Amino acid sequence: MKRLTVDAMNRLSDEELMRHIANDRHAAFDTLYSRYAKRTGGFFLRMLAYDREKAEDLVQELFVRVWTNRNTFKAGRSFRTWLYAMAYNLCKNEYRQETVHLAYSEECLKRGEETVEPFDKLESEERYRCLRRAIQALPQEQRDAFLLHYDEELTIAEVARITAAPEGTVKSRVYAALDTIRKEMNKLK
Amino acid sequence: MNDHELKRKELENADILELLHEMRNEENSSFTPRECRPYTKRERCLVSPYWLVAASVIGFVIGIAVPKGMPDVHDNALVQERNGNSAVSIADNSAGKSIASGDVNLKLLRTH
Repeated sequence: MKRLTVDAMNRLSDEELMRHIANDRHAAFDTLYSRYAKRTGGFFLRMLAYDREKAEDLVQELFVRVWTNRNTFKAGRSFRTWLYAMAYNLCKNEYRQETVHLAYSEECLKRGEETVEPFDKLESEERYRCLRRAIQALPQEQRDAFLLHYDEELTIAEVARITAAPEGTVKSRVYAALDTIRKEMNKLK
Repeated sequence: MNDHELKRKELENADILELLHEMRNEENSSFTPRECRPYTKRERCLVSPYWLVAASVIGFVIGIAVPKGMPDVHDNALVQERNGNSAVSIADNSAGKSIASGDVNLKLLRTH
């Protein structure tokens, strides 16, 4: 396999980069990392109650796993599904260790009570806070399905595969999540 | 739950989904990941200072300490044996060192 320039690497798909990574190409790994580090970091933030340090640790852990498992990635498979399956498992480990504190959502709740303006006039940062609070208040399974589907834009089938749930269940979870978030947001109107 | 129902719900909540995407883009762009180079671990391990120290100690023991650490009495015994002296007389000449105590070990010296 011939060596590629950084520009050429940037033009490759995730799956093609994984082929290079399987051949120990460090530059391919760096390209994939720069493509996904911020994105997965944001995902960990939203999944783990905005614990920034934990999110930074997990991004590192996730990409160490990408490197160590590079030879188990099968051709024809979607890299994103594979990556988010590992990311989701890391989140589940955190849930099991009960290290996820929802202190942030408490703070957000207080701020919401102080707010007197109608929802559509709130500054965008204030609206983000309300949305964060509503997402954090969701039951864990709904939150996982909601964030994987709408935030990370994975298909219902991919979310079903990652969370090991039937597709119908995933649809019900995201439907219920949308309902709950709407109700939470309406409380501010 | 069918696709049509879900689609309808998404349209009803389009403003929330739009807000979610805005928030995601902002949070993702403000996240600063640490450097991650898992492929350097192996190389780092091979040139680790611990390996260098360990190699130096082993080199010192094999190359310097063992040959130069031979007691003088053994060198004397070797010379005396070459001069035709018997083991007993060598022991006598070796400042009170006896063959039985192992201080004068001719077998060792012959193979040295």
